Amino acid sequence: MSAAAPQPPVLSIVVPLAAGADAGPLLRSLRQQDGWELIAVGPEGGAPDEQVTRVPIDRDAPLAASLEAGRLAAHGEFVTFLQPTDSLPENAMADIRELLASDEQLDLFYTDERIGDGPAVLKPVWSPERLRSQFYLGSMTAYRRSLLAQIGGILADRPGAELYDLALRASIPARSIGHLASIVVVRQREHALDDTALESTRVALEEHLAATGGGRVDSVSASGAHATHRDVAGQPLVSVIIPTRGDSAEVRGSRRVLVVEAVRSVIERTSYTNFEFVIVIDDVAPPAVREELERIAGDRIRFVGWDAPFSFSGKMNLGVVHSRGEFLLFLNDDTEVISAEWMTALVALGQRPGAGVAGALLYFEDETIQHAGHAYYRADVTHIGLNSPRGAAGPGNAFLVEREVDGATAACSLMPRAVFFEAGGFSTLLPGNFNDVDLCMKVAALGYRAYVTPRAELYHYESKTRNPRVARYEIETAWGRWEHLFWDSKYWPDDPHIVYPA
Amino acid sequence: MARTATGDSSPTPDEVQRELRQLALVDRILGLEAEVARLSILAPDDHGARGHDVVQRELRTVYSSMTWRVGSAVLAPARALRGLGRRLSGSK
Repeated sequence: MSAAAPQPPVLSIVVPLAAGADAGPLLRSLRQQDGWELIAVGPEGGAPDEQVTRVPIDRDAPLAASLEAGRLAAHGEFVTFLQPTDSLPENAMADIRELLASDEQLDLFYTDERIGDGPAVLKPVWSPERLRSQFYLGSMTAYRRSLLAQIGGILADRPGAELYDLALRASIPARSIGHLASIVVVRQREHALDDTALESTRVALEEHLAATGGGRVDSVSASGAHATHRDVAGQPLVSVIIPTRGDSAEVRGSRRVLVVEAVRSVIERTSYTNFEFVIVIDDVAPPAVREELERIAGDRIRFVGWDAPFSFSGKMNLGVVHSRGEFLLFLNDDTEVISAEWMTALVALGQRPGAGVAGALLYFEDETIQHAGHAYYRADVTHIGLNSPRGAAGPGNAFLVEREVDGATAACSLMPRAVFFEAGGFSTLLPGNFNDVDLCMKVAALGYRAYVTPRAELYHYESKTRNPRVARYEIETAWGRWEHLFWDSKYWPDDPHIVYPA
Repeated sequence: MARTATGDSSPTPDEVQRELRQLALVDRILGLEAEVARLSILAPDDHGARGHDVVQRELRTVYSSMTWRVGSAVLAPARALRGLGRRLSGSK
């Protein structure tokens, strides 16, 4: 009777070694686990180890050559590239096996990690738009070995950005990309990107954007948070829907009619040109408000009267059915545009395949963040970044990059018209609160994605005019629908109540 | 189907009411589906057989409602097309 052939390892770990170095810390962390093989690539020498496959390479060989030599020597189902000073906690291989068993189409996965004794670095679920601005996948990014062969392995002409480039190229043909919400690797330190790495990053991002629908690299940063954006295709009409009572309030020490100043800021500061306003205005609003709006917006504006009790949902839905745009931009009357490219950025994201919502970065009057996306945490619904100072980078520089989110506030958010109708619009069962949360949940349930962009910045002078009280029936309605999804956020694994420093 | 927005003409009152009713119907259906999903997840954790029966009764009430039956029939063709579209595009 012949013996059964040995199972190939689940994970091949490729480690480039300098002359005289060994993979001591990494190897020690692996000894008590199974399902791995360690491939050490470096100059000849070093003590032999039956659990280590040594691949000799010239001491002056570039990193890409070492990584590629290791890939070619690998036999595992998946391949990852680590540093000799990295270590894997004792649960790592077991957690990886469990993830792989859950999805047989998985071609690429990444995990949470820790840097030294620092806090855990928690990652969102697969976020392709975020990846084109930062290599958020991190150290333990593992690829199905056949996928690496398919894309031609490590490229030699991306010095300093070999692994980011690999992730970008692999993400396109990968059938399924998974996130393991477990700390599977502990790194010792992070490295800032030098000029060579930054140039390689720029090239890699430009190629990736071209291969995934187009876009531009505005700048690359040593911090690893790069400014890239998608281009707008054509000039689709955007309908800016603003519900208002024509109220006045004091902002920065002076009295203003909120909707007039909101519309004025849109007209004067927006670089995008093809938009209309649909103002759903209470019949009791002062006539002077309509007159001033007509004066500043001319034939871009249409008014829809409202004579019923307050209902944000009812007003927004009514505004939508009177609108003409391919894209709907919901805007509170107590907002003020800051960035000229805000509408362009929202439209660009709204045009992404599968896009449902695109939201903005909003600030209070005191220059603290009011909104950087919705997040859910232990049955609570809140805004990411709330009360953090303007300019805060957030965890992993999250506030600096365009990224996927679980939802976005309707104080300023854009939605494709077709998605709005497919989702049934704003629920009139929620006239005051949680209607935007509910709409985003419906949109997500239909399979669409939500985004937030730091390129769209506005002030939101929130709740200066409306009583923010929450009625019991609103909580019962919204939680009655979505409570089971309000325990955590796919795209914001950190506690959203954290206030981040400048 | 939502009226395609073209031209400068405003919708008629009938068009407005029709579209608002359509939005409300779709919203109710999606809301009911969400409630069913929530109840289905909560059901195994209910305390004992009595709690389980309460959840099952709530689910039967939802499924037997006119709103659910009419709405499901209305939304079925669009959902079939959307599922086909996703399979053809191979979206991740």
